[in-house]
This record gives sequence, C-alpha cells and structure tokens, in this order.
Amino acid sequence: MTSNITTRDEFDSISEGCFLVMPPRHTTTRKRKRVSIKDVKATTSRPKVTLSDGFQRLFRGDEPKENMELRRKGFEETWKKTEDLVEVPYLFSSCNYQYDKNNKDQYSTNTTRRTLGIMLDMNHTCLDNISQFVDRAYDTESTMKSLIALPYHEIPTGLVFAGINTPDHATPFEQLTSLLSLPATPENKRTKDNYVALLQSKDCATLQIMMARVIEQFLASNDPSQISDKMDIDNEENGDENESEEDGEEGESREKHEESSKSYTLTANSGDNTCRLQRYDLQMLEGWYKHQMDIRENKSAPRSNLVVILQDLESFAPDVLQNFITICSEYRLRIPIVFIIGIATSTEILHQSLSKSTLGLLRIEKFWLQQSEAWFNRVIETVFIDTPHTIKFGARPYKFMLDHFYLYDFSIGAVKSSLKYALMHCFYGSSLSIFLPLLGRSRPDTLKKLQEMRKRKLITQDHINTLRMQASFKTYIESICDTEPSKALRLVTDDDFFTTAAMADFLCGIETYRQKFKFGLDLIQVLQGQFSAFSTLRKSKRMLLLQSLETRDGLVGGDSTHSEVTRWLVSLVRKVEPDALESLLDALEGLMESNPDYKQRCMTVVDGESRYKISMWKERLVELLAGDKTYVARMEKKAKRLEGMSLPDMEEKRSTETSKKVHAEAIAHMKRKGTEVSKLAMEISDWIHYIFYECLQSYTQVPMHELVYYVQSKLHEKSFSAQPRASVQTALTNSKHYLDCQCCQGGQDQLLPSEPDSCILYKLYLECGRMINLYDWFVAFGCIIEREKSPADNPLNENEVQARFIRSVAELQFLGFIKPTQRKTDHVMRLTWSNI
Amino acid sequence: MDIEEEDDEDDEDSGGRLRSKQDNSEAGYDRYFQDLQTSAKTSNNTLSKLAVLNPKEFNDILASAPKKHDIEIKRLLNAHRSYFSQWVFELHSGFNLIFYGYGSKRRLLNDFAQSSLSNGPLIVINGFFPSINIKDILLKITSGALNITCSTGQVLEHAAVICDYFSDDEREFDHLYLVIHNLDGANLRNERAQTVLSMLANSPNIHLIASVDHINAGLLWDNVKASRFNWIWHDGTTYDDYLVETSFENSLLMRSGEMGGVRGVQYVLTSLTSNGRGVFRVLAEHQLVEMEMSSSDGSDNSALGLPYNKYYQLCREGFYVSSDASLRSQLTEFKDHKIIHTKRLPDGTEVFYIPLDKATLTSIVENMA
Repeated sequence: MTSNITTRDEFDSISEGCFLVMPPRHTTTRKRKRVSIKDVKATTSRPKVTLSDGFQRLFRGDEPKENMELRRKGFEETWKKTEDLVEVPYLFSSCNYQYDKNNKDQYSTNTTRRTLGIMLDMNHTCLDNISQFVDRAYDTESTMKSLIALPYHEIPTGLVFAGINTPDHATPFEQLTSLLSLPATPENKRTKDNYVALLQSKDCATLQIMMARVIEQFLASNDPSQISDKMDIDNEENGDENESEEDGEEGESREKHEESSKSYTLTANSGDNTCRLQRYDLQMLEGWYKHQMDIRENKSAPRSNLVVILQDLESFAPDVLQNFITICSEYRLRIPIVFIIGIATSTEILHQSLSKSTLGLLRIEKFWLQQSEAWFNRVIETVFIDTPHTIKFGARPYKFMLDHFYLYDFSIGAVKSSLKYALMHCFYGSSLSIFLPLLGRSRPDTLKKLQEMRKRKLITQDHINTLRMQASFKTYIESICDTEPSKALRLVTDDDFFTTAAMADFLCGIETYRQKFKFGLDLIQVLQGQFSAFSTLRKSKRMLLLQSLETRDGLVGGDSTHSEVTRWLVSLVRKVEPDALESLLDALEGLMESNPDYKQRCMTVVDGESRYKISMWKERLVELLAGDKTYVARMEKKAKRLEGMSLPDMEEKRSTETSKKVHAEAIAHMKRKGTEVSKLAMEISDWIHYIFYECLQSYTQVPMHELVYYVQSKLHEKSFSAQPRASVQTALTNSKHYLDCQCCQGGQDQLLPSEPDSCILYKLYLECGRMINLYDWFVAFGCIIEREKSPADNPLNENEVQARFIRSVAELQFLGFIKPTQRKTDHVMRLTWSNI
Repeated sequence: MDIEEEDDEDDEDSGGRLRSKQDNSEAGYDRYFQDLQTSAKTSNNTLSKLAVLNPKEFNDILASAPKKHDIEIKRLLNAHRSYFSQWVFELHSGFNLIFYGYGSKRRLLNDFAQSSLSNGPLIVINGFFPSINIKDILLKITSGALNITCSTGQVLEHAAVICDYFSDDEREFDHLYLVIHNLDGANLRNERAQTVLSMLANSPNIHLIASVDHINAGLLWDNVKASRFNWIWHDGTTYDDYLVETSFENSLLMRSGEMGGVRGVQYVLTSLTSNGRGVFRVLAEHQLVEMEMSSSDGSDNSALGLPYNKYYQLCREGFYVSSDASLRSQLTEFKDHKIIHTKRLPDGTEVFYIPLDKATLTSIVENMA
C-alpha cells in the first residue's frame, strides 16, 4: 500500500504541510545564542546575500556595474524623497509642535519623522482640540464651561471620526499618541503630562489581553528599569483566576482584591513576593498611578490623565469592549481614564455594538480628522506639480491612480504603493533612469554632473542610442532642423555635445516646463477664485492636471473641450467689472509674490515684464478710479454708447464664420473705443491668454520628457488590480493566448484535440446545464481525445482516457468550477455561469 | 519590467479583452436564471460502467501519457523564471507577491524560493494540505526557524512575538520568507488564519510569496487585510498539472482505492491517540468481518455499517471511550476527515461505515498494528 504513496519532491509529504529550509550559513555553523548576536553584529556588518536587491544589468548585461548601483541608489534616494514629500512636506513652518527628543527616547526615528508629517499638519486643529479635551477631561466643575457637574461613572470619551479607509488610520493615531504623551510646556498650550496607551483590535482578542496591554503600555511610558522589576513579579500566570469580570461580579471581585492592594507596594524590593496581582488587574495600574503621583517633583501640577486610545472600534469584539468600559468606569474615581475612540464614519456602530448601559458610562465628544481625500489632493499637488524630483505620471497611470482612489478604496496606502511601484519600475527597468536624480539642479550643476558621468564612462553608447531613439527627441530634431540645421546635426552626430551640454539643456527644460506649468495652474486657481458667481464651474488642480495630461495640446489651443477652462477664464476677465478689477490685480500680484520660485530661476518669460506690467496696470487703475466725477460721467456716457456691442458669451457655441468675424470685430472695437477700464481689462486678458499659452502646453511638447513622465499603466493595472478569475478562464478557453503554439489554431469556440485536457473539459463544461453527468462528460471528453494523434507504440486506451479525465475533473473542482453533489448519482454541480 | 515584457502584456491584455467582449453576449446571470427555470435534464448514466482505477495505475498511466504542449509549457516556465530577480526586488521593497493563473505554481515558487531567497529561513507551506493549521505554521517559525520559545496560547499573540522578533534590530535572521502554496487552501480560508498571515505579511522583514488557485480567491480579504498584505499580483499561468494539490482532495471519481483517501486516513490515524485509533479499528474490523461474510468488495459499504448503540458498546468494551460524548467527538473528527461516513436508516438508527474497499481497509488495519 505504501508504494502508492508517492511524493513529487522534498516539499510534498503526506504527513506534513509545512517545511523549513534554513539559510546555508546557519545550517552548517552552530546556532548562535541571541545574547551574543550583539557583539557579532557590531563587528561584521550583515553579509547580504543578494547585494543588489535583485537589480540586474540592462542592455543584455552590458550595462556598467556602476550604473546598476547608480540606479539602485537612485531608487532608494528618490523613494525616500517622495516618501518624505508625502509624509513631511510642510515641516516646521506650519506646525508648532517642536519635538523634544530628550524627553521621549522610546519613539523610533520613524515616529519622529512622522510626527511632523503631512497628516499631522492637516489634522493640526483637530489634534489640538483633542489634546485640549484630554487635558480638561477631569478638571473640576468650576472650570468646565459647558457641562454640568459630572455624574458618577461617566468616562470622558473623545470619538474621533477618521474616514472610510481603516487601514490608513494607523498613522494619525500614532501621531495622536505621541502628541498626547508630550510633556506639557507653555508653547504647546498643554496643561498636563498625560500617559497614553494605544490599542488596536488585533491586540485585544480577550479582556485579559486587552487589560494587560493597557497596563503594560502605561507602565512602559515610565522609567523602564522600574517596570522590568515589576513585570517579573507579575509574570506568574494563574490559570484559574476568575476572568469573568462582568458587571455583576465586578463588585465581588474587587472586594477580593481590596485586601491584596493593601500590601501592594510598587517600589517594594523585588524579593518580596506579597503582590500576587495578575498582569491584567487594574489594581496594579491604580497602584502605579498613585505612586507616580507621589514621586513626581512638582506636586502642585495638575494630576495626569491616563488616555486609552482605541484605534479601530469597528473591529473590537463588542463583549470585550463592554466589559472593558465597565471595569474602567468602576475605577474612574481613582484613576482618571480618558478614552479616545477611533471610528470610521458613523456612530451607528457604537449603538450597535455597545449596550445602552455601557453607552451610559461614556460622556462622548466628537472630533473629525481630515479625510483622506484632502490628503490625496495635496499629495498630487506636491508630488506632480510642486516638486522637481521624482517621476511624473502620464495620463493613463494618473487616471488609474485617481480611479483606484476615488472609485475603489480611498486608501492612502494604495496611493503610496502605486507611487513606489512606478518608481521601482522606472529605476529597475529603464537604463535612462540614471538621469532622473539630476533633475531640479541648476544648469551648471547639471552640466558638471553630466560631464563627470561622461568621463567615468557611465554614459555608454547604449545610453546615447536609447536617448536618440526617444520619440520626443525625434520631433525636436525635426522642429529645429529648418531653423538651426547645424545644431540639429550636432545633436545627432556629436556624442560629447549631446550627452553633456544638450542633455543639461533638456533636463533643465523639463524643470522649466514644470515651473511654468505650476504657474499656469496657480493662475487658473487664482482667477477661478475671483469669479465667485461661477464657483460651480471651478475645477480642482487634480482635474486640471488630468485634462492637461490627456491631450496633446495641453490646456490651451485646439478647439477641444480641454482648453475650455482657459478660454472661459480669459473671456471672463475681458468682461470684468471695474470694481472687481482691483481685487483681480491684487490677487495677481499676490500670486507673483507668494512663491519664491517665480522670482528666481528660469522664469524670465513669465516673470520680468509681467511683474512690471501688473504694477503698471494697477497704477492706471488707481488713476482711473481717482479720476474726477466728470471723467466718470463721461465714461458712463461712453459706456452707454457701447451697450449694443456687448460681447457674445462664450457659452454660445456659434461657430459660423460670420459670428466669429462679428466677435473679433467687437473685441477690436472695444479696444479702440471702450472705456479706459475695459481697455485695461482687455490688456490683462490678453496677457493672461499669453501666459496660459506659454505655460499650459502639453508635456509631450517638451523634448526628452520620456525621462520623467511615466506613461505605462499596464503594469500597474496588472499588479494592483489583477483579475485572477479572468486569467484562469482565458487560459482554459484560449490556451493559445498563453502557450502561443502552432497547433491550436482556430477560434475559441472550437474544440481541438491538441488543446490541454483541462481546456477541452472546460469547454465541454461551458455547454452543460446546472448539473453535469460525469459519465456523459467522460464520453464527450473521450470522443475528442480519440481524435488526437497518439504515438504508435502507445495507443490510446480506455484507461488512459479515464485517468486523464479524472485528473482534469479534479483540477476543475480544485479551481472552484464544480462541486460534488448528492442529488443524483455521479453528478456534479456547475458553479460558474459566465466568463468574466 | 523590460520593454519586451510590455509588448507581451499588451498582447495578453488585448486577448483578455477580446474574450470578455465576445462572452458578454450571454451574461452570466441570464444563463443562471435560464438554467434555473428549465429542469436540468441529464441522463441516468453512472460511472459504474467504468473500470475502477487504483492509484498506482492512475499515476503510471498519467506518467506515460503523451504530454501536450510540452515545449510551450517549458517555455512559459522559463519566461517566468526570467523575472526571479525582479520578484526579489519587489519583495525587498516591501511588497508581498501573489501569483494567480491556471496551472500549479508549486514548482515555480519552490524554484524561485530555493534559488533566490537564501538570506533567511524559508518556510514552505502547503495550503492545500488537508490538516494544515495556522498554529502549526507559527510553531514552525518560532521553534523551528527562530529557535525561540514563547507561550502558545493565542495565535495572535504568537504572531505578534514573531513580528516583534523581526522588527528587533538585534535579531539573528534578517529576513523570513514564507512560501504559501494555495493561500486559499481549505484550511487557511478561515478568518483567523488570514488575519494572522496578514499580520506577518505586514511586518517589514517577513516576506510572503503566495499563490491562489480558486477562482473566487479574491473574496478572501477585506479592506484591512488586503492593505496589510500589500500584494503585488503576478500572473503565474504555468499549465503545470495539479496532481500534488488534488491528491488530497476527496476526488469525485476514485471512490475506492483512492490515493488521497488512503494518504489521508493514514495521516489522520497517526496523529490520533491510541484510543482514537481504537475507535477506528473497532469499526474497521467489524466491517472487514461483514465484508467477508457477505463477500462484498466495498461497492456499498453503508449496508455493512455499525449502528451507533452497538458501536458505542463495542468501544466501551475495548475501553476506548468512557462516555457517549467522547465517542461523539471522536466520530465527528473522523467524519470531518471523511474517513467514516454515516447514514440514517429508514427506522431512524444511525449507522457508521468506512467508505473504503476491502483490500485497502485490510492494509490500513495491518499498518496500524
């Protein structure tokens, strides 16, 4: 019998489903004890087996090794930068929480970085409110503003609404935790030193574990040496300790503990075994808290609160939570516990999972964190518009990311993964990615770097060829070959010139384009803000970016709908009221001043004269407005004459030649004869039109944009929203698609004997009804198999057909297409009804 | 991630799209309701017309049968192999890999793990294994690979210990690789197992390489778990046969002398207490005697079954069980493993029998001794 039990390889066994393979160096050498690791690690830096993290040399292995390293480093640095951008873009400027490292050592550097991140910045006010709420949670009645004297047994509870996507909540709650545990200083407007415990549902399967977690975390926020002593004492597990601390038995169990708590001394010498408290007994926390209050230096300071943060209320087991709340409320008078409860969107869950009596123990106040959408918009702006580093997304990947976020899960994590994967793809697969880190430098700097790379032979002939093969380069050459034939020739023939000076120009050109584009978008935003009457037509930067990515013309030119925004704005400015003109000019000036980017760098086109122009217009406007009444009266008269000539609206889509002509004439006439103010408005709108045209071209016009713009979306779609079922069904119905064989020609509807057995069986399956008779299925299968050309020495026999049939049926069952049924002998149920 | 791959994928995708367009002409739900209305008429043929294959024959036949598309399948496998280093890169960048597509991905993933992932302990988990459970996996990691001991009360706590170990800077092993064949295997489908695995996957230095085969495998994870897993999906269509995976399934066709059945029975028996084995033996011996008397070959074992009260009595006499409840729980275990079947007779008595033929049963009983 045992001879039947065959195993394929070392990982197939009938007695075990789990195998262990140790890494080579450990199987041969003796096992090191964990204690000694410290010394070993200190001397030898970890030997990494895969030095290059899986990076390979491109150009069929011809790429210099340094380049591979360069790409690897490039990826690490760029991702680090991007990650920081996403998490920490607006550092100290807007955030007034200085992190005091000396006070809290236990936070990893990671948390330090995060505490100052974008999330904190955005949630700044909300977090402020929460911390104030925590601080005054146990203040005496006199200081309470809105509430009457506290009834007993109510625990102050902050309900924090954190948004749909629960996995993303980890970061804000970590921030909240570290924020609340900061010591009180005047500059952060805090009044109390609090102790904080952060709980996640996955750590709180039972009441005991939950309690133990809370207590451990509180005690750990104290001096570590003290705790270790204490934990030793309390380590003894006692199985039969009554764990049912439900409402009814609560009083009883407390009485029992009352005695032991008398002998409880926290700083008792550790040999003293009088404390027999369990590690999940709140008595311990109480004792610790008393002790903390006793030993603190400043006795006059207000008592600290103990903050318990429950991060994801939805996933907690309701009964555990109820018991926990009840117990805490019993202790409320002795230890000031404050709850902060994280919740996704609605309080419904609170009422569903907790009983009325438990809810009655909570005094709830609500807080709202920023939704992930706001974060997402800001990330898009920061990463794709505001900063020079990192790759930019082309239309398809960008759309994919937007859709994935808005239509699928609102997940911050997914967006980060998406960005990261694009970077990975770029640096891993593209040899040109070595140029990416050069972006955002000044031209001389870029040039120097390029020359250095050229000298070190990092830029090989392969690179040069690949660069010259880029489509944008080709268009560029074609565009200049008439005007500057010598330059075009040099670009194509002179490798040195091409890789240094020309590349530096290209790289700077990309950056200039970005700055212009940013300016253009900012201008649109400012103008949109000016016309409050049209607020419904406003578009977010996110959508504008999408529009501009999607067309070849960008947001200007052509008659496409994409340029509608800019045309619409220009025409609005043209028709602007005189009194609105002033605020418009102010806004424009503000825009110019706001960003230091516009003052320096390569923005001469936009900046120099425009700044001058704006101030000129302003002066003229002031003059006009200050002009005497007669002047105004004359103006009005003049304006009356022009009434009949008001401009046709943009919304009217009359496109006949005549109407266009009329339109143009009207504008010309206005310019000639219009009031001073409308003349001014005309000029401004012309300028705006010019700026739009300059700035909002499509990125495809920029030579070498391929270096920066990531346009492939296939990989993203496959990697993040794969369709496993469709893939299996394609493999079964259309095996040629995967196998690419010569034999299985013909459509999918045909049944060819050359196809794999399971494919044949699956196609037969598609023809069946709800129930499938195995025998008939077998016969049909056999008919097709028979047509197959079998080798002469091994003719097809009945048993072989049967065995192959059995194998394929088992596969289909394993894949979930059929299931056995008892309804009729030797039948199976069909489980799927369509090819997705 | 080469350029060539892009082309490749373009092809694949257009193929897939083509498909879906054509098949949409008959929507799935339409077809379902259509079939629900009409009475399903199938013939009354049964498989009894066929000869019974024993597992050895089955394997031999399949081994000698001509392999279709052998070259193309090898080519496909080699194409997958060329991505090994990319996968390593993805793993080290903090993603976990999941493979889908038709064909067993065991060979591919084992190859990958053994050739490319040698800088840390590697745990290979067969999710299709009938009695795999999450606790064993965790134990394997802690006591087998890491050589640490910890209280093994709660699996969640246990997993937390492992995660802590791998976020500790002074650990012995930098990385831990978990290769899970069939993350959607029957015994890993439960909430608890998936939660624990997702927690492990979430830990920065633990890397998961998993495969799924069931067409509805995507339904396994909720939002939270999916984000913890942080998958990169890869199409791992191999057209490799599923013989290893399906050998454990109670196959529809090999009712007697079935390979999976015997492997399963033997495994279950070795993992039981001697009393548990005794309970099985009582029934097996009774059935063998009955078979001998009626000279039946095992086509209809239910007729030879043992009624419950008699079974209980026999077990008590052998001191295998002391109470009704303990026998019941023992039998539930056997039933779960589909080793012992039950049937209700028209008069309401419950009879138990073992759905194996005489030869197999004899050999099992002999092996037990």
